[in-house]
Amino acid sequence: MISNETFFDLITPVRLYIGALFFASLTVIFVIMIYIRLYVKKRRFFAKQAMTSELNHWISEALLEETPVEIEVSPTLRHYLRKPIHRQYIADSLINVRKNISGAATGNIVRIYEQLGLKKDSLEKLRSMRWYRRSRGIYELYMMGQREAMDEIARYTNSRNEVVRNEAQTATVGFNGFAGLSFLTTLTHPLNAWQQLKLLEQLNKLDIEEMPHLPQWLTSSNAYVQLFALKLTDIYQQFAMYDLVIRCLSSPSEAIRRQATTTIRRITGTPPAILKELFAGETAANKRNILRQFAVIGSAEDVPFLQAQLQDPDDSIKLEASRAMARCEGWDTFEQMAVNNEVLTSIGKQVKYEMGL
Amino acid sequence: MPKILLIEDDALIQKAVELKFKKEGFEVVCSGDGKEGIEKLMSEAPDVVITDLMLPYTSGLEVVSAVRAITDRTIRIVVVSGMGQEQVVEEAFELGADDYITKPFSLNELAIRIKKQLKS
Repeated sequence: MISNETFFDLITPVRLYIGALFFASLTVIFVIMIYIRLYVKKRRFFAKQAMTSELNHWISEALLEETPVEIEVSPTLRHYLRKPIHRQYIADSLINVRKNISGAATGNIVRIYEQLGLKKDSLEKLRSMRWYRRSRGIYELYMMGQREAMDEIARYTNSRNEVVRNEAQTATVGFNGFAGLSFLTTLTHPLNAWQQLKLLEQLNKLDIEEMPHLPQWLTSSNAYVQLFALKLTDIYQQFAMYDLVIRCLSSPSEAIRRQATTTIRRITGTPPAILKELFAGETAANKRNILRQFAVIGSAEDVPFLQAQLQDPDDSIKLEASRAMARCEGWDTFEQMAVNNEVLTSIGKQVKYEMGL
Repeated sequence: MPKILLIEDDALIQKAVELKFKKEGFEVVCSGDGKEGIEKLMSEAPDVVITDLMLPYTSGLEVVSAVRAITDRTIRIVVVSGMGQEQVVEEAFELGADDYITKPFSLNELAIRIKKQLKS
């Protein structure tokens, strides 16, 4: 440890000058570095602006052509195309046009994409070992309607990487419609809820086609596939799948049983007796879901079953049963039971309020 | 020469629409956001306003309502919406929009709609 005396002995005018000079130099270096950085940023910004302006004009001109044309690439644009960052920007801009503008003119956008060698870039990305490049490549090829790459893309529909897998599945369905769903047969990885929604949204725009593999998907060992198949059965009213949907009601997965309950009601129009049989063994969430199905299409015949559920210790089950009774001509029975029952009385008020009574 | 005020934040789409209408013989004034669009509405007095519904600073709905508040019904308003924005489009009609087109849209179709609006 340095004693006070020794420390003050060290502070000499020369050393103070050296210290001050050192810190001043450091400050100057920092200022120069900040200046260089800002200068580079500014240059990049203006270069990007110039490129954007030239590119926008060029693409817009191409969009105005109704027929396929050979578009001349200006030397400036050719200069920009040398840098990968600019190439990526151009590819993104072309994709953006495809997303926002339709019609015959967009054919020229694909031509530009191919003409500028951007398709080659996308294929390189597709074949990259890095997942983020691969998924980007799939997306670009799909957006630019490059059907030749379809087989290569289809290989990634069961990729270990979720992003790559989702992009490949979206592209496959985008290219092939219902036939593109064939990847479900071999899918061993999860198909998350968002991806299911995206696929259904894509299919929604198409005319319905046969799904010959639907029975296979409904009995798949992959619970995600089963769940998605149940949604397909429901949306596309595949009544022929009735027996397989009934089998799904005994699935070990709660989510599958819940979806199967909804699907069976939607495809038959009546809640089958089996729902009543399975009710006792179900989880609270599924019990509520079953009761909701009775609320939609139950009849007076179902009132005794619903009445029994008013004894359930779970108030949320009682509430769903009451809602169902109100819609199954069982309200008088409910009101009789609610006499001198505080919980049922307050549930009754809630249901009446919901129904505007 | 009929004048169009185009309010679209995507520079590329803005350019494409602008060129299309210029080619069709219209005068086109462009704006990249709703706030600037409303300002231009006062200074440019357009015949038709084409506005995207999703805009920075001031939304397309606010633009529609501003157009109707500032000017009379002679200015036609066409809104450009994205997929699944039916509810917003409905709101735009309630506020005074005359027509709408959904993205992705064809430039030709947009031109036909604008001409129809001008005739009516």
